[in-house]
Amino acid sequence: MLVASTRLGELNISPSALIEFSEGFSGLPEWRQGVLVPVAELPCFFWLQFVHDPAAAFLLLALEGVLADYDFALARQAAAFTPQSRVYAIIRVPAGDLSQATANLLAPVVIDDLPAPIGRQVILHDTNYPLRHPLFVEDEPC
Amino acid sequence: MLVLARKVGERLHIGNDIEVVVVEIKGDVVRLGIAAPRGVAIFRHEIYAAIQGENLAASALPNDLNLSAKLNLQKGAPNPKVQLPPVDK
Repeated sequence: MLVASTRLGELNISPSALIEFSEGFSGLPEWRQGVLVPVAELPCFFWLQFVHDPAAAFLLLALEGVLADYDFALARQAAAFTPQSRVYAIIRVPAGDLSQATANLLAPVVIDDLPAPIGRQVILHDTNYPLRHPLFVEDEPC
Repeated sequence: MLVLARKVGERLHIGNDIEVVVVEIKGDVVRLGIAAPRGVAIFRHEIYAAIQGENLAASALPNDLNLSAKLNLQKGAPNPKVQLPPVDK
């Protein structure tokens, strides 16, 4: 099937690759069916392109690759998904300025492949994980 | 909106599978216990509103976002990782 994307052009994907977010996202209830597309040359970054609107997409960061100390078990438990599920942070890029980009570590997105691709945004209550975790830190002056 | 008066230890039910109990009242703070199926999400309003706002902000990405240029990556680098400082729980 073809999925239109303002950022990625036309994507030809297998219907079995569609990820169902049955609850949508808080504030974006119609964002329910998406496809995960790796960002070229950036192994830990993905576009989550939604089907209903070519402009509807999140930039995600696969946390396993970059934040080993994150409580992945807690996120999977909150989603009620399997230990094989993957945990992503939604990236916010204020005014398109990547140097100011932040990762939402309080409400990660968990995606599982069994029995079919499903996803859920969970809120990690009772942690101090930040809503806006700076992605890039300024170089230390030397 | 339905408004009910309850004493400490008294319960109420929402549908067949959600139970709310007043655990403690201390000054102007009420502690509630909620028993609900796993699939039912329960949020403090402040957190819910914050995440809603953050989702909306993150949904407004520019179309011409050029990731690899900004990250200053060398083509063919094995696995460029973004460095995140450790997070206190």
